[in-house]
Amino acid sequence: MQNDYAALCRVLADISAGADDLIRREVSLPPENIPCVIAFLDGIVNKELLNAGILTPILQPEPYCAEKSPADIRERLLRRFLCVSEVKTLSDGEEIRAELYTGGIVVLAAGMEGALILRLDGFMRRDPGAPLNDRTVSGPRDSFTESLPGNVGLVRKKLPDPRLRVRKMLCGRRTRTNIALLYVEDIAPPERVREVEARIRKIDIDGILASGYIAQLTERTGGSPFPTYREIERPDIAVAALLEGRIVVLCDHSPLALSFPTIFPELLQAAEDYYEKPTAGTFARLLRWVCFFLAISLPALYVALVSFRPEILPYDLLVTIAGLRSEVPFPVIWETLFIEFAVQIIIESALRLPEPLGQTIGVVSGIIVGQAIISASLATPMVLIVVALANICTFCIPSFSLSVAVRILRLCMVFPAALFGIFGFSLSWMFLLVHMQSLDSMGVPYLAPFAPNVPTDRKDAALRVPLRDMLHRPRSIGCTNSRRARR
Amino acid sequence: METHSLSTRQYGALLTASAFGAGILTLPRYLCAAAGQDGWVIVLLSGAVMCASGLLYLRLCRRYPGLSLPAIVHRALPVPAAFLSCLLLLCFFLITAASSIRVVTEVTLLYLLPNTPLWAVALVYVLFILYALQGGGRGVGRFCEMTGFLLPLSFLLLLPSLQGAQATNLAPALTCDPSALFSALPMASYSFGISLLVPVFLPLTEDPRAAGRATLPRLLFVAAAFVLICLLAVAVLGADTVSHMLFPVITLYKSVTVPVIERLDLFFLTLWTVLAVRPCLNFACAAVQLTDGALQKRVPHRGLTFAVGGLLFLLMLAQSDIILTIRIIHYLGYGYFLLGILLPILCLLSPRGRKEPSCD
Repeated sequence: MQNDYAALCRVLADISAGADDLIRREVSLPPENIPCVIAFLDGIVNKELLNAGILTPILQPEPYCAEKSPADIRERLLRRFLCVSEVKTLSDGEEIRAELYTGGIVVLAAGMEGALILRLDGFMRRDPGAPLNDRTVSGPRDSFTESLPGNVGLVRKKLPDPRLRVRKMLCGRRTRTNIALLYVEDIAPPERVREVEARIRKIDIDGILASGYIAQLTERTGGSPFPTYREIERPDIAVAALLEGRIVVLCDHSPLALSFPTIFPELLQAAEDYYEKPTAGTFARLLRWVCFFLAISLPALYVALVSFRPEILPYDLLVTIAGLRSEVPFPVIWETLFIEFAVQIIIESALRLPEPLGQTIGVVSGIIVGQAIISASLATPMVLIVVALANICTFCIPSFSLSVAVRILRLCMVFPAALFGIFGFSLSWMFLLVHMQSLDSMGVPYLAPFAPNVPTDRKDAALRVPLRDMLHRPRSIGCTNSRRARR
Repeated sequence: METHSLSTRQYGALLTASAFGAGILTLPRYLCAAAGQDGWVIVLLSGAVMCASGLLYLRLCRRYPGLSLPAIVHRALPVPAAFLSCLLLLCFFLITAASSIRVVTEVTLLYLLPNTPLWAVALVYVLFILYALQGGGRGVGRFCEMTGFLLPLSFLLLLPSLQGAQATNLAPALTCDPSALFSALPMASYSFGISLLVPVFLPLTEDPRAAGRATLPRLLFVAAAFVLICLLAVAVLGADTVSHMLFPVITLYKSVTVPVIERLDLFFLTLWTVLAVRPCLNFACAAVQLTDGALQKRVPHRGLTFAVGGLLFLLMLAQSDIILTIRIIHYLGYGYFLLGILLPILCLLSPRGRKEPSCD
């Protein structure tokens, strides 16, 4: 037994040689003064809890002293660590090393077999505040944080169903990031659960730093700009997804959950749609669909009309545009691309800067630079309006990943429109539709319930019917238990 | 090619979508030249032929459930006849698709891009078809299903042209020589070539029985729509004018004088462009499916698709002018009679086919 203790001490010594942040405390377990070692990494352990829950109890004198058998020493230590909820015993050096690096506290005692691993995670964590993107007026205002157990807890609190399954796995050879797979057993289709789990288990990478890594590594859509997953910031949306038979993936250190499978109409839905009356929800959704179309099309449509078929425009507007255009030395495509690039640069810089500075940049660039561009006749006010409107429409899209895709597609659409006019524009949309219908998310067609047509699912796609009429879960997902409500 | 099953709805959308393309754009011109104001009677007869052909193929598919068209033909006919039939079918699909692309390209050039070279526009169409074919039969079915709403929309947009209709343009009715009607029948039948798609796509459906039941209503709908459009073209423009027009249906759209809509004729054209590219796509897909079935997956799907795309482009460019294309289209009608009526009858009557037990 002494050898075991000595071997594990050598393991700790090994670790400390390459980790200056390893704290090693040697104490004696009273009353026989059995040598003990407590080791942990600084910064990821709650020191206050460590002092109160481990160091203080270990040094307390004990009135009763039993035999010094290995099991007895472990028992005595465990009795002292009653206030520590997560305790396990390990004897493999590599496993102990892994636990230590992920925030475990290692307790070794002479004569004890293996090491006790206690967890008092004390890494700086923020409270679940209001979500950054998906804000609501009438809905709950909590959001996921970077803590996986906390996030699972948030979901469990909202869905205290015993059939909610949580499957944990480790991903990332070096980061050993904890991943949790959540689904409701009697709702989620088992073949989809297996598919998601298999794809996550297949990931072989050194590090998983955020849920975005998992999203990208489980996708099979090649170079498509469209996300086939939904990033969820709010626990209520995650629970709604679980109740629809989807699988939610939570990743440690990431405040975003992922939901699979995801269909395109979902990316244009927001939590608020369900918390308001169906008319309001439907109106907001239709508005977002229109915004999606305009965000992609406006600059391309402007280029196509002005370059190829200006006679379609009302006469007065045409004269105004022609007058303004006469002062600009560039063709309309360069003018549009120039403004589009300028706006994209402003958006990117505003995103990277601290909030007050970002707002200032927005105002300065929007008003001062915009005015200067017009005065210098580098672009017409019409292009500025079109591009600005297209960008505002982009911000109406609730999914950040989809809005990024829209920004890229908007630029791509301008070229065929400049080459072939309205014909190029309409053909680009056809290419886009064919591309979108070729996508699927974990085996579910991306454009469901439109292609393939699933009439019952259309109740909650572009429209939002009253909740009492949503009697079934989405059929396109293939839930095992499809009925969700009765009249 | 991997199995791409189609839903009954997708199969139905695919059939309907295949009908409204180059055929309907050029058909009224030919009909009016052949039978004046009674041209619609030819459409009615051709529609009946199409339904008969569809029913024959349905019966054939029921006799050999789950088999592709080449497999059915090889079971029913002797090897040389089966090989020749498959080759003819492939040629029919390829030439139909190429001619359709040519017509759509001409419409685009005439009304949308007068200064663009023909090959550039045709290349864009072929690239689109190639891209869409990557999804296989199901991808094409989904695309047709998704754009299915365009058809009723296009009919709705045709309605305002009714205000210029004159009943006298249709009179005197049924005065045409019956021999003229019957001699024009095979050529008009080209526009109803969709019944040849039934045996190609029916085996791909998830529920062939339900798809089989949906076939006849679709064919009847197509026939009725064709009759109505031909009647409308004659009633609005007059038989004489229609017989001298290259694309009477487009002229019908342009004859709309309702404010606002009148200004948006460009969008009608764009709408028709989208509608008309679907038959090209569907026939090209049929060609890929047929070759795939005949070669029994020995050539990768992508390779086949590119080969079909290349052939389509070459066949399209080989047609020196649009008049030649229209002539080819009309002669394809005879091919349709051969492959749409004679082939299924031969397969059904063949003693080899009767001996063979049905196989799943």
